[in-house]
Amino acid sequence: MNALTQYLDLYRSHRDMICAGSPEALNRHRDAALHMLTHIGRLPHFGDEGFVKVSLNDMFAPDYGLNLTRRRFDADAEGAFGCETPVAAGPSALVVNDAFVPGPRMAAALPEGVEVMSLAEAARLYPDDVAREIAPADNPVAALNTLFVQDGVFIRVRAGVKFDRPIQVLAIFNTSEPLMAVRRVKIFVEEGAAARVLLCDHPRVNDVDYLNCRVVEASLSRGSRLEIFDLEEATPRTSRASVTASEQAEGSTLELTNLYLHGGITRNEFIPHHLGEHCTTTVNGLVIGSGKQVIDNAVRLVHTQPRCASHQLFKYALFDSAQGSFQGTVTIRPDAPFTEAHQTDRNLLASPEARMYAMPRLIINCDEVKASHGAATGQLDSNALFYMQSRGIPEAEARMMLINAFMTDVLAKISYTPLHDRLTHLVEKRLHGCETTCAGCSLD
Amino acid sequence: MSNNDILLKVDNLHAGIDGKEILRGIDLTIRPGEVHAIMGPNGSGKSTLSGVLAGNPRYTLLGGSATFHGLDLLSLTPEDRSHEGLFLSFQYPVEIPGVSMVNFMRAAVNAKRKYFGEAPMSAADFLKLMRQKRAVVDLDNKLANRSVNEGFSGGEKKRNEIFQMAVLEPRLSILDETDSGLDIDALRVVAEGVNKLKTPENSTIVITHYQRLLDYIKPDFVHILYKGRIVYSGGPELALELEEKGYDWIKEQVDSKEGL
Repeated sequence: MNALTQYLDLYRSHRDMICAGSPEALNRHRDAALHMLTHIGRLPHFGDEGFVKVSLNDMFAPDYGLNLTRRRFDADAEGAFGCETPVAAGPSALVVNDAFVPGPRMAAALPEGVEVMSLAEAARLYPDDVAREIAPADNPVAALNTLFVQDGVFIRVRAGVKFDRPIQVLAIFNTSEPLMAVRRVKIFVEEGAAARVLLCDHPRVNDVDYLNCRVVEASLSRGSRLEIFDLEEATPRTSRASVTASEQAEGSTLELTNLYLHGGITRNEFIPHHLGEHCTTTVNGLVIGSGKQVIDNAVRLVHTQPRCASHQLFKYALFDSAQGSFQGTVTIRPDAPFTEAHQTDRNLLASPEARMYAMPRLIINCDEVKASHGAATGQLDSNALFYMQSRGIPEAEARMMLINAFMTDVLAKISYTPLHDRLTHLVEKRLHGCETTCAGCSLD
Repeated sequence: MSNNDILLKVDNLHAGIDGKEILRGIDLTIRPGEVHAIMGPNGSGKSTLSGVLAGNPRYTLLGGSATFHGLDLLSLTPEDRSHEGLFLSFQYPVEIPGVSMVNFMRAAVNAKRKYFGEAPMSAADFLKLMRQKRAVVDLDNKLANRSVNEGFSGGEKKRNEIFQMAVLEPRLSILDETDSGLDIDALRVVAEGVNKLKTPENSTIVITHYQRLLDYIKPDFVHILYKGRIVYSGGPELALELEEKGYDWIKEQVDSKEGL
C-alpha cells in the first residue's frame, strides 16, 4: 500500500480550505511540497534507505484524522498540562494537538527582545521569516509537514539578547480520536544572542493512536548560541516523525540534546547546516527503550565550510524487545579544511531480544581535517556487576546504577544545571520503571 | 572447641570454570580471630577459591559445602554473603566509570542496613563514616568524588579495597593477592590497614604468592594449595620455608603420590 497517496489526495481535495485558513507565508511552499512528493511518488518503505530504518510508509499508512478545519481543542493550560520537566519559572508555551496556546504568565516571563508566539500569528507579522525554508525541500517528512502545517511555535531572540532560562514548548495530544498533528517550530537566534529551548512531547491520552509529524527549524545568526533540549515522553500508541534542521552563520554554536524516555515508534532526523566558518554543532542523544519501542535517530551533517566543528554522542539502553537504530553520516567536503568532526555511538543491550542497528559513517573528501567515529554495542559489564554485588549492592540496584552510569556523559554535557539535574532525575526515574508523565509539575 | 566457634567450614569443595574442574576437594576450617594464608603456585586455584566463596557467577559449583557462621554460604547471593560478613578484596579491583565512590559506598552501606531492617544512614553520619574509614588506609579525599577505581593507581586501588573493608566491617575478609602490583610503601600502608581492622572476632584469609606480605600480616596458619587441593598446612614457618625452597618440593611430593 502506498501511504503517500492518501495525503496527496487529501491535500488536492482540501487545498482551498487549508490555504484559506492559513496566512500566505504558511501557504507559500505548499504547492512545491506537493510537486516534490508527487515526484517521489511514495514514502520510503522498509529497506529502501540502505539501512534498518523505520518505514515512513508504514508510519503514515494508518488513516489518522487531520485537523484541517482548525477545530479548537480545550486546553486547561493552568493546571492539567503541567510537565515534569520544570524549568525553574521559565516561560512556557503549549501546543495542544496542533494549535498554539500561550502558557499562563508566559508574556510576563519573557524579557525584552524575546518573542514566543503562535506560528500562524508570526506568519502574519513576519511572513518572510516564517516562509524561510531551513529543512531540506527534498525531505519527505518536511514536505508532508509543509503541505499541512497550520500552526506551531515561533521563537525569536533579538540581536545581543542572552536569555538564560529555557523557553519551554510543551506539545500534547488530548483528543479521544486518532489524530495526526502537524507541528512546526521555528527558532531565530539573532547576532550575538543566546537562548535555550526545551521541547517536551507528551500525550495526554493513553489509548488513542497519534502521529506527530514535526519539523523544528533553527536559524542561528553570527556569533549566536542555541541549545535545544528535545524530550520525548509519549505513549506506546504514539508515532513520531521528526526533522530538526538548522542553519548556522559564522561563529555560531548549536547544541542539540535529544532524549527519548518513552514512546511508540520514533524516527528523528537531524540535519544541521553551516553557512560560515567557525561554527560548532553538537548533536547528542540518549535513548531508553523498553517493551516494543522502536527508536530511529539519524544525523546528516555535511561540512561545507572551513574551520567548523561537529560532535555527536548517542547512547542507547534497550530493554525487552526494544529496537534502536542510529545512522550518523558526517561528510567533509573538499572546501571544508580544518574541520573537526567526532562521532560516538554506544549502546547497551539489557535483554537478549533487544536489537540495535548502528551505522557511524564519515565521508572525508579533504586532507586537512581531524575526524573520528565509532560505534560499540554490548551488555552490562559482568565484572562490574559482581564487584558491586560483592559489596552488598543488590543485583537489580547494581544494574540500574551501571545503566545510569552509562548514560551520565550525555547528561553531563547539559550545562544549564537546573535542567541537567531535572533531566538526570527523569532518567533515573525512567530506569526505575516509574512513569515519567507530566503530572505534578506546573507550567509556570 | 565447639562448632559454634567455627566461622567458616569448607568441606570437600569442588568447583570449576568453563567445564574444567579447578577446585578438587578443598577442606578448610577458620575460627574467629584467625589469619590464614593460602599460598600456591600459579594456576593452583587460589583465585577460584576466593571467587567461589564470594559467589562469582563465573564459577560452577561441582560439589561440597561451605558453612559460614551456621549459614549455607554457597546458597546465598553475593550481596547476602556481603551482608552476612564476607568480604573479598579483589586481585584486580574493577573500574566502574560513571559511578562515584560516594554513591557506590552509600548504596553498599544502605543495602546492608536495609538487610538488617535499619533505616538508611543520614548524609551527615555517612560522610563522617567515610572520613573515619579513609584514615585507616590514608586514602585521598579527592578519590571519593571520582568514579569507582577509574584512573586510580595500582596502590590506590588496593587501598580503596581495604577502605571498603573498613566501612563494611566484615567477619571474614579474603585478601586475594592484595600485594600484587604494590610497591613496598603501599604494601606497608595496606597491610597496616588490615592489621588496624583486626579484632578477636574477625578472621582473614590472605591469598598470596610471596612471603613478603606475611612479614606484615602475620598468619596463624599457612596452607599450600596445589592442583585444587590444600596439600600442606602448617604454621607461619611454612611460608618462610616456601620462600627459601620454592614450590617444587611440594609439587614433587604431590605428583609422586598421585603417580604422575
